[in-house]
Amino acid sequence: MSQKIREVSVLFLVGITSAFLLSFVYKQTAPVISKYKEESLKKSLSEVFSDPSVRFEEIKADTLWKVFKGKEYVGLIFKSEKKGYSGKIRPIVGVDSIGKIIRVKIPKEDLSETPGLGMKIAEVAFLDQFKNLIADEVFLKKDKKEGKIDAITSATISSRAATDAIRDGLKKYKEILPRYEFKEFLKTSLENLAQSSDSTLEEITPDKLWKNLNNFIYLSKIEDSSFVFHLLTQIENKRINKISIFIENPQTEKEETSEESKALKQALEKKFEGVLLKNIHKLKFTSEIQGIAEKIREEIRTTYVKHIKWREK
Amino acid sequence: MEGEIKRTLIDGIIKNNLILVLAIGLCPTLAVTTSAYNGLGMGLAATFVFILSNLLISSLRKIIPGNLRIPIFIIIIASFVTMIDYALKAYLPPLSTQLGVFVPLIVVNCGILGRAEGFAYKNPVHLSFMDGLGAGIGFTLVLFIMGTIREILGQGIWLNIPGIFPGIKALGSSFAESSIILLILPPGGFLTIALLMGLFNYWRKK
Repeated sequence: MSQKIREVSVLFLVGITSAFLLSFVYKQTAPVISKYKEESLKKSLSEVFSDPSVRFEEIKADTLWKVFKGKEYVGLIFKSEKKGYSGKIRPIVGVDSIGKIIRVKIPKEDLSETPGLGMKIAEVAFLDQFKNLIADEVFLKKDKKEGKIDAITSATISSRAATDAIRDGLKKYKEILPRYEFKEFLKTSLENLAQSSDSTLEEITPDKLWKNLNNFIYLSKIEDSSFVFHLLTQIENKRINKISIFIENPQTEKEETSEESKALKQALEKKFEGVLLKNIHKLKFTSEIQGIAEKIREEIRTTYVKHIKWREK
Repeated sequence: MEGEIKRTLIDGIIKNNLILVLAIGLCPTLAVTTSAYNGLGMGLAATFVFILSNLLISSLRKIIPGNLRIPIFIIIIASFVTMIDYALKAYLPPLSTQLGVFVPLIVVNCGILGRAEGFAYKNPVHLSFMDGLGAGIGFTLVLFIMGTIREILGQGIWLNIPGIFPGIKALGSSFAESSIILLILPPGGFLTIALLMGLFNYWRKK
């Protein structure tokens, strides 16, 4: 009996001493550890957003950050997750305001892919492929023809999981991107255009000037006292074929959707449609649209002379 | 006295070699020896724990009741390793990231329990220290050799330290491009360990 009591009390003592010591060490080290973690997270964040003058605001703990430059909301950083070959793959991705990847990082510490094979997804050579891509291009080349990512030899599962994780994140968070609506506007307008003329657009200056057949399409920006007007003008044979307008509220960086601005947009689009460039100065405007319409006319004339006229020859 | 100390050390490395003779602690061995550096890192971290846990168990051997020794060893080793893990994370974060997977793996390394049970529980502190050191050296050597074989044949490079040193192309660069990938996958671990065990026992019998 006495032996049993002795055994039980020894086990009890060992257990309680260990528990006490462990909790003591934990209490001592926990703040230091969390501080270090915070610092290394900050480091990771600034690594995927190459501009050093930005600051980060956490939206969703350990998953989503908005990036601000001064007061301007310039992009996003997110962490996404996907099961790889032998564990979870968690890329950290920096995205600019229109949804292009700035840089991707996959921390090696919490990656458990096969060393020498799957582990290579954390290396710069693989990750650099993602720079400047948009969601639709983030596929493995062997999976989809739009894809721009070369898988790592013998590590297709890891490569695909990383690619999928990045693309899923891009799609999931695109709606909170600062210039998401504008990007969508641009994309659909250009797509419609390519479809209606049944030929692909050739980009001459990135995000600025495109060409297909005899069409020139360019993007320009005009500001008045309250709004920013983005104009996508399509010129064919010295004639304004069509002009699409996106009215943006500079405060929210969202599309202005009030009835008035919708009416204004329609009136402007209709007014310029089909006008010959040589007759553009003869256009008469009603008083409601006069101010902005004159600015647009001026814009089209100068851009045409500066960028398009010589190309037409 | 001195002869005894020396003998204990050498026995720990050869006669009681954890992996090649006793065949304990195989799980982390197979898992981490995909490169020489990983083998070395795991080996050194484990050596440190072998020594300290042997010291601890040996100095407590008179208090620990015989029937309860196994659960007590486990409690002591597990909390001890966890404390080391916390301390490393807090005060030596770069080392902790490098050792990353190894430290938690040591908790489940039954080699430590094996030495506590097989030696430290029955022997005085100074001998237990030597046994821990010997077992650690033996363990590290085998891990390093296995890592070397698997890394050179499986990846074509040797001594790659992630982020610090790219490694030596031991068999030329054309081999590095078409290495035997099987060797760094789990079957390669079993093949290597079997070959090593066979060679080692052949050598000892002679």
